[in-house]
Amino acid sequence: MAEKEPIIDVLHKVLEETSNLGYEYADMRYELREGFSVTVRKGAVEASQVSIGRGIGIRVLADGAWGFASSESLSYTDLRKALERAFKLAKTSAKVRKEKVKLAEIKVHRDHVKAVVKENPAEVPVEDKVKLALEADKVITGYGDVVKDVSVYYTDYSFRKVFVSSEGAEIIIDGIRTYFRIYVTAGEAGVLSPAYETMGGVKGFEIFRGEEPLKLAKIAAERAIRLLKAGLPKGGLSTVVLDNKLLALIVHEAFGHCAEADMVITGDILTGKIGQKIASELVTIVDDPEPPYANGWTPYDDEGVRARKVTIVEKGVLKEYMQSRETAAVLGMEPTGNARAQNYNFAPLVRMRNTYMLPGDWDPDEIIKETKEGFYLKGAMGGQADANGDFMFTVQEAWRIENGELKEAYRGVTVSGNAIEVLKSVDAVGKDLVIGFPGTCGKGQMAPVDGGGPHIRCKLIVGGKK
Amino acid sequence: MSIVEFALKYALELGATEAHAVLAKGRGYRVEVTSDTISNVTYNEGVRLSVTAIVGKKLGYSSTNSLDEKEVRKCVEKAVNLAKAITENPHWRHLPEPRKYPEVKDVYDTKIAELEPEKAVELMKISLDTVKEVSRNVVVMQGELNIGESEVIIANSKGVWGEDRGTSISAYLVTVAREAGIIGSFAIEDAVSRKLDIDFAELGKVAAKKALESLHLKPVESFKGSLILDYEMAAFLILNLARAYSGDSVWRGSSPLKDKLGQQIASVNLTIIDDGVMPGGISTSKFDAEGSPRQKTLVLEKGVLKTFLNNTFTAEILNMKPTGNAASLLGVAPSNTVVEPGDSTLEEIISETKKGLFISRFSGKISSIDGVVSGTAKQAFLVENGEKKYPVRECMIVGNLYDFIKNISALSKERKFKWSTLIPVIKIEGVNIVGK
Repeated sequence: MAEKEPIIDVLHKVLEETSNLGYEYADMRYELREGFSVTVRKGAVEASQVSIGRGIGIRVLADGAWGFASSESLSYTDLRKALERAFKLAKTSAKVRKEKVKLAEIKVHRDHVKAVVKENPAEVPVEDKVKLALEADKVITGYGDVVKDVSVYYTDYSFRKVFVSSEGAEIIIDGIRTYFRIYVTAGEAGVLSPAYETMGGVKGFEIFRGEEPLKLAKIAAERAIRLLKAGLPKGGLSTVVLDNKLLALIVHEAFGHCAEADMVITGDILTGKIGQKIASELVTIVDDPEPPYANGWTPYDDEGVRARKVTIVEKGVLKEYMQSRETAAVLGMEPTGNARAQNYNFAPLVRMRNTYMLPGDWDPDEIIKETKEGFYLKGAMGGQADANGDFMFTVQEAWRIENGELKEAYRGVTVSGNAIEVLKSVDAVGKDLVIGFPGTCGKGQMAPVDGGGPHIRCKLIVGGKK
Repeated sequence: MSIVEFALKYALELGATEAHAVLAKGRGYRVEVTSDTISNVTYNEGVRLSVTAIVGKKLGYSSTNSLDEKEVRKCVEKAVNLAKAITENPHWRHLPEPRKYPEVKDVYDTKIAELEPEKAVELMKISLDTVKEVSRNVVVMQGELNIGESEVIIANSKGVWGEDRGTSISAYLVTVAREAGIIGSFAIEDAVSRKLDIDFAELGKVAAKKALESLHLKPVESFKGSLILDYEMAAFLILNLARAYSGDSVWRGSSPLKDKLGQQIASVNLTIIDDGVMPGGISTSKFDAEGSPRQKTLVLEKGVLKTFLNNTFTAEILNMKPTGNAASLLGVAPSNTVVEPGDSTLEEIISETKKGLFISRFSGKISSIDGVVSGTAKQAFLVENGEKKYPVRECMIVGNLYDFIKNISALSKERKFKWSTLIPVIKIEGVNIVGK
């Protein structure tokens, strides 16, 4: 992909020759994506697919309002037409808009960034990818008839994004993402028990060459089987130790969304609280465009802003929000590179990238050992959070802790609480930072994100039998 | 020769034993709302050609959004090469044979197809203004209005050929109320139709009312009582049940309904029809994703399980008949899920409740695999001695889907379209509600 990208000249030409329309700002985002996936279920390759998609999203700011149009045709004439349409839509939108959109100033960049991976999956034979999925399936079905259903998904895609703006920006990003997902259903005597594991991110096929994929298959199978006999615990407010994965979800869903500047402007629990203590002083939370292998890797965002790390909470004090150029102008703050779009069919929104809690100084085993009574909660199977920080998640696996020891396991456990109250109750933070829980965040649009953190101890409501 | 015909012919020439192709086109406007403001107006149009090449029992699938001849050829070549490179799906039998398609009504409205973006903006503005008329304390955090039209051509090497088109309009508002420094939990209200007939004032009114109802919450003690599911919540429950009566879950072993055909699995009050040809239904179409005709299927009759939903693939495996529910050549999904109404009015259902919870939103999970229902009630009212008392502070609902459907005591006469369902309010007895 080192050769000159031919679309750039077309994009510049469209912007130049429409500059007399009278808009304040315009940008054009070209995206090309080529993907591969294979699904294996219960020993059989169900289907395998390749896909290719390309298109251009055009955003125009005119009379203080946004208009947007996309085009899958790459010809100058069609792109010009699409830009003119976006311009007209901006004018339409301006008629009902009270406050005019302003954009915070940024440094205009010209750059070409490439994700660094060892083994480009596009160059790996299809047979190797199929074999990987089949082997994971075999490990799981090897546990016998107790395994009722298995799905193993392997996916990879490469993308090129080209961003050009009327301010003179010209940014090319080349990236690759790979994912491996495993679903297991174990069953016995009419009881069914599900388990799920995943790995991936901005990584090449090299991550599948080692032991990791089969280890995950084993972990998922054993958990599904083990939890067949597990019941629901006695519910109520409890002391809990959270593993890295569940913490990642709480930090993202329950807390992170409240620190997105568009939500802050609408009014949420973090509005107007910069500089205030909102969490235990053991808590520091960041949203980071790095590390380069994480699923939410974002060197520049989708409005050409050089992305930087946002320290949302530092030692318990709220420091910053995540911003787009528009929200930064409203709040009188600085853009942070958090404006991201699902693809060329969408205009960018304020989104998280890789959001995690920084480590502390506890040995994770010590946290459990030093807990008299409570639960050790591992992993998550989804959940929801609210504008006021209230959340509810389903935990994959829960263990009762008694005098520092793990006792029996439970499944189908839900936890709930308020993000701020939970973060205030944190009294132990482990030193085992893990960033590697790739996911897709939905906020009207989908965006690849990542998250993480160490093991921590806090208080929340465990849902179970009363 | 059309692109679709060419793709099939070329796939067979390259060595495919069967081939299936879909050409889908769509265009539409989206009006986006953030913080009470119309924040963007968007136009999208797109096209996608998808080709499945089958070599024996190996399925290779390829898609592209560029229709120039070179790209179309490449797309077909990739599908065939992929099919040749992978291993067999031993369960595969064959593509569907051509069958006659039904006539479907009220799925295309020229008023939507020709709607100017200015008009779409005006409609959304009506909702936003109505929210403020109800209360200045309610903010629309986020919202969207989508209007669009789509057309699809489907064909396979066995002679299936179908063409269909449709329009749709959908809108949602996410609202939140604030009062004296207190922020309520957010409320969602949505509407969807194939015709330009959504009442945008009503949408705004309900969205605002629901947001206000999540302020001034009071805690409740735990109790065992009735759970009255508002339309959205009832739709959520039934759509989760639909996963279990999908032939796909059944043959894969992830449905507890596997051996329950002909048995009473639910209350005699519950009758469910999967209706792919219902006039104006959001999932109504002439054919499904494999090109089999849509139809009306009685799934649950007075609580007795009559059939599973199938595509050709799962039907062959289960020795049943396809029901026009292909979501893909391998996958199955419900079309329009219609729950038969009961004979009480919504008011009667409430007035006949001794103690219960009336719930509009549920933050949690219902698993069709093990039936586990666990989560928090949102926008929920305590009902006591036949009266709606006050909104409750989040309390948890713990139970099992398969017990819930056995304990349905009433369904309302009134029904609403919620997503792809036509659904009444549903009342369930003996549910554990975990409060303070």
